[in-house]
This record gives sequence, structure tokens and C-alpha cells, in this order.
Amino acid sequence: MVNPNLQKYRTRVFAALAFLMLLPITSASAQRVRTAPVRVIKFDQLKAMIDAQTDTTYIFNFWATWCAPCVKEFPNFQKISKRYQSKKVRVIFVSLDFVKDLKKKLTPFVKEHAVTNDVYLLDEPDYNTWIDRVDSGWEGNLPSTLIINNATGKRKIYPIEFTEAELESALKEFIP
Amino acid sequence: MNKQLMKKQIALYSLFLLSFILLTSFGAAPTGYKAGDTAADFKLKNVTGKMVSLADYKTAKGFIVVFTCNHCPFAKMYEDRVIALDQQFAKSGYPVIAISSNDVAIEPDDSYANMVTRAKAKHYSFPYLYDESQQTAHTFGATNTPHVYVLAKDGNNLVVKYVGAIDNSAQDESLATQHYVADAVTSLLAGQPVAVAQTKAIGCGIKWKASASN
Repeated sequence: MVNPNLQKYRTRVFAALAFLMLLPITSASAQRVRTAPVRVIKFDQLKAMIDAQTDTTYIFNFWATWCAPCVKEFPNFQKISKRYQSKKVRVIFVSLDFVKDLKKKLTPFVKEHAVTNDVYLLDEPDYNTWIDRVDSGWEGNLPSTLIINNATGKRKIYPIEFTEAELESALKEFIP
Repeated sequence: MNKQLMKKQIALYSLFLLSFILLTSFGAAPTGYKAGDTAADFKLKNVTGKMVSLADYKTAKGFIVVFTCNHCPFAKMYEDRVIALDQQFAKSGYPVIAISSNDVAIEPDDSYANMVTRAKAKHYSFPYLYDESQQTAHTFGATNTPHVYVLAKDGNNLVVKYVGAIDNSAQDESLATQHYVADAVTSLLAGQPVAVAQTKAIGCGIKWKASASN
């Protein structure tokens, strides 16, 4: 006859072992979608990215977690980014959330949406000093997207909420 | 008609047509009011149920027209500042006229009923008008909320004196170093030119109806 205490002990050991065995699996699956930390930047850093001399087509999506249409169109950029991975296309998310909301809203959003693209929080609350330097045709309304290829010199601001199809057809004007 | 001429005319016509198509499809460039333009009056339904026009304000020297709305976080951040602008300048002849132009099908929070509720809750001392057709926002060229137009009366004309943001710190009023609208109205009241006549700011895009979008 098995000692009931021993039985309890065995169950506990088994449970602990099972837990230890599962641990690497769960952490590995969590690592599979590695979300980069959100970096807080100033406008000069963004400007350097916009002006980078490269033949890559950049899609800068200006958005914020408080902006409902931005949140709605967000996955479309992720999809297009994955679809055009091999085509020298990069999507960069430029958040205009407030720095105080970084940990509370922005970082959780990025994790929840498993964002693998670069996400920056542009900490420049004096908007009038830089909006025209992104594009003079932009009035500052969110969402807005700048698509740019410095090798061809083509750039355009889209002050609209993009559907996946609209974004793809806009992008196609930029890539051969 | 000779063939050569006809060809030329067809070419010219095609060129004209092409440029027209290009202009209309890519002509999202702002066509709204800039400082110095003459603004058109409008007639819109206030939250009281009455229709309001700028022409109703016989003794006003001008107006602080604010395109705003209920739902937008930026409009909410500026709401108390809009109320303060009216309290500061209405008695000197520059009342606030607030207008909501969002498509309520996209943004139900901005419905007329909700506008009425909001105006009552915050004791708006100024009209809060519903631009249901979005015609007024289109005419002014408003794109964001909040988006301000300071107008000054010049005889029977309404001259645009300032277009843009309220100040340069949406999130924290105490950090604002430029009070664009207050400065513009103060200058106008003193008979001085407006130093900063146009600014840009981040804000919620106005929610256009599908048929009238951009």
C-alpha cells in the first residue's frame, strides 16, 4: 500500500517537473514574436531617417494609440510590411502618443499587436516647429502616412486612413 | 476642318482633360482659407435648436471659429481653453463659434444629441453648431479638430486673420509658450497686425463622409 503522503509528494514532484519542462516551450513561443522596445526620439532623429540616402522605400506611419482610425489601419501596415519584406520596403511607426503614456498605453499596444517593425515615440509637443519639415502638404491630422524613396526622389504624404488595398496600391507607385 | 488642326485640337483637349484629372485626383493640397482671404458666412443648427449665422452678431468685431468635436482627445484637451477664450474675448467683440463637422456614422460620439449633452454639461457660453453637410468645414478647409480660424469684420467682409492651433502645448497648457489665438485676437483688438498668422498642429482628422472624402 502506498503511503498517502508519498502519493502527494509524487504528485507535487510530477507537477513541478511538468512545469519545468513546459517553461522553455512557453518562453520560446513568447520570444518568437520579438517586439522591439519603443524608442523615444526627437525630430532631428526622425528627419535623419526620412532623409537617409538609400534605395529602400520607407513608409512612415504617423499615428497614436488615442486615435481610433489609426488603430484600425495599424494591422494593414503590418501585413504590407510582411508581404513586401523582400522588396526593400520598410514600415516605421511614428507614434505621437505622449511620453507619459509610453508604459501605460504604447508599449502594451506594441506587445499586444506583436509589432516587429520599428516603433518610435516622437517627443516633440511643439508641433508647429516640425510638421512642415515632414511635408508642407500635411496639416498634422492623424492618421497620416509619408511614403518616400530617396533613390528615386519620390515622396508623398497621405493624410488618410489606409485600407490594405489602398496602402498596397500607393506603395506600388514607389517600387519598380 | 483640316486634319492637322483637328489632331492638334484633340491633343490639346486630351492634355486639358489629363491635367484636370491630375488636378482633381491629386489636388488634395489645402484649398481652404489662408490669412487675408475673405470668409463666407454660414447658417448652422446650434445645440439650442436655433439656426446661427455670423451675420446675427451685429456688434461683434470678429470671431474665433473653432472646428472641434466631442470625441477627439485633442479637442477634449483644448475644451477648457476654448471656453476660456470665449470668456476672455466675447465681451471685447470676438466671441467663440464652435462647429462640429464630423460624420456621425463614423463617430457616433459626435452626434447632435451628444453635442447638446456636452454643451450643457460644460455650460458652453458660445454656440456649438452642427455642420451636418460638412460644407462649412470644406469651405474653410478645416482638416483637424481643434482647428481655429480668427476672423475680423471689415465692413461687410469677414477677413481671415489667423488659421491653426490654439497654442503650442496641447497636452499641458502650463507649458505653452505661444498662445497663437489669444495673441492674434489681442493684436487685432489693439489695431496691430497679427504676428503669427498660420500654424499647424497634430490633431484628429475631421471624419469626412464617404462620398465627400478628400
